[in-house]
Amino acid sequence: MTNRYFNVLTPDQAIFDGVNKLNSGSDAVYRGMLAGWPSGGSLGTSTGSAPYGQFYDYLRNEEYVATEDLGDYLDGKEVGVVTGKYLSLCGPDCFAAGSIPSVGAKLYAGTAGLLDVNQNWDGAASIGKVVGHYTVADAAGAGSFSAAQCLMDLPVL
Amino acid sequence: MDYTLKIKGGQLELPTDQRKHFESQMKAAMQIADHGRRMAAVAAHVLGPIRKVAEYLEWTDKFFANDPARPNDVVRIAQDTYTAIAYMSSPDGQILYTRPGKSYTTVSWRHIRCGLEIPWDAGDWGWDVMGTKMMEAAEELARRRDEVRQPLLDAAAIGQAGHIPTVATTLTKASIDSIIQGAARVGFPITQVAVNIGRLMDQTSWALPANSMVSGVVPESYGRDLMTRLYFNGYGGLTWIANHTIPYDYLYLTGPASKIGWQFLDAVRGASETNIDRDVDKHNWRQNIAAHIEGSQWVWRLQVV
Repeated sequence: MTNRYFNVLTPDQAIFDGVNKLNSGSDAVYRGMLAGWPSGGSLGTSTGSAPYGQFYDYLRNEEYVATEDLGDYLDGKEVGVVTGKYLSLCGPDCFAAGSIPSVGAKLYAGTAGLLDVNQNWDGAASIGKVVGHYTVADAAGAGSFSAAQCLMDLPVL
Repeated sequence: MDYTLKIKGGQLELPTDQRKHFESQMKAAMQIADHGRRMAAVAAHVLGPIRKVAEYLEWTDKFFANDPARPNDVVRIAQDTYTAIAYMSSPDGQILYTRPGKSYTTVSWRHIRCGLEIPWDAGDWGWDVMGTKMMEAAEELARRRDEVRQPLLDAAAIGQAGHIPTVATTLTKASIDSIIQGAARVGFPITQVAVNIGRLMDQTSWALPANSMVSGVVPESYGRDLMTRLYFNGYGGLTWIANHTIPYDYLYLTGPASKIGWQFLDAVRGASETNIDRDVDKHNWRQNIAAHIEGSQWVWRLQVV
């Protein structure tokens, strides 16, 4: 199951930038993925070692949203990005490993816009730290999954 | 205005004056929202979401008596040990006195909180976003309250020799009988049991012992209940508290709540604000809770392993 649960827990401390455009032709762009400028002047997900923030857009201007893939709707349009210092809650598929890291793990930019505990670029700065685990009731029924509470410190300038 | 949210009979309950206040707030918000967009959502015949997570039902509250103490109240729970003796004596002998001592315990409070952000355009979505999310918030508060009380039940049972029996694979009649008998024998008879509804259905395989006095003469209703519901409610004269949120592998058997301990539930307090920077309404709820078990003798835990 793809579990991209993503919530900003301390929105009043974060910066919500909504003036940058999403790369046209982007797809599979979800809330919680790292945003940056891989090339040119519009945002994409393959951010390299200097991510700007995390995509955070609830598609509020769209009438009948059928997928949370921002690329389906915001192709070439302004997209929301959260950046700054904030606490977020991330499901397993926000991470390159497909599972949440242990508490205390440092977070780095992953290669596909995901969060990673591995430093993929020499000297790349850490962008966050896992500071807790929370149990979230799961759509699978009586089950639940663990989400990582992350203290994010973005952007890498 | 503070909201006092309660789950009653699985339903979310808000006192009338608070509900009216809330409705007036929502109405005001609706008037701000764009009329055309809202009507489009209605015309589209939006069907509300079907729940994919079973409703959380609070269950540990059945084992604690309610006390109105609140945080900052000095809660002192007297500790006593049995001291009196009576004795055979010569009438000319000296009387022997025993005297009780004085000691108290107290409780520590836990603070539970839950916050929601509802976008202003949620009124256009065509389904009851606010109601649905408030229900979830109330359930999560209930889940946390259970997390405060369940460890106390565990500790109480574990602290009593022989109070955490196990049974293999399925719930058996003998395992329940043994606890009923053991508890009755020492004068702390159990009156209620919390069991997962699925586990309760193990009763379908219960067989009455052959050659016993009751074999063959059980009430017809017993067989009928087993056929139609897969369980027989009321076995052993106990109140069977059964739902799907109670742990599947543990049964908690206790005496009456008033003999076990107390729970101190502060009101669920709510607050709301409008965030004009991000076009959302923020709501939060918080509650203080403390609980204490004194009568561990009444608490048993049966584990199905």
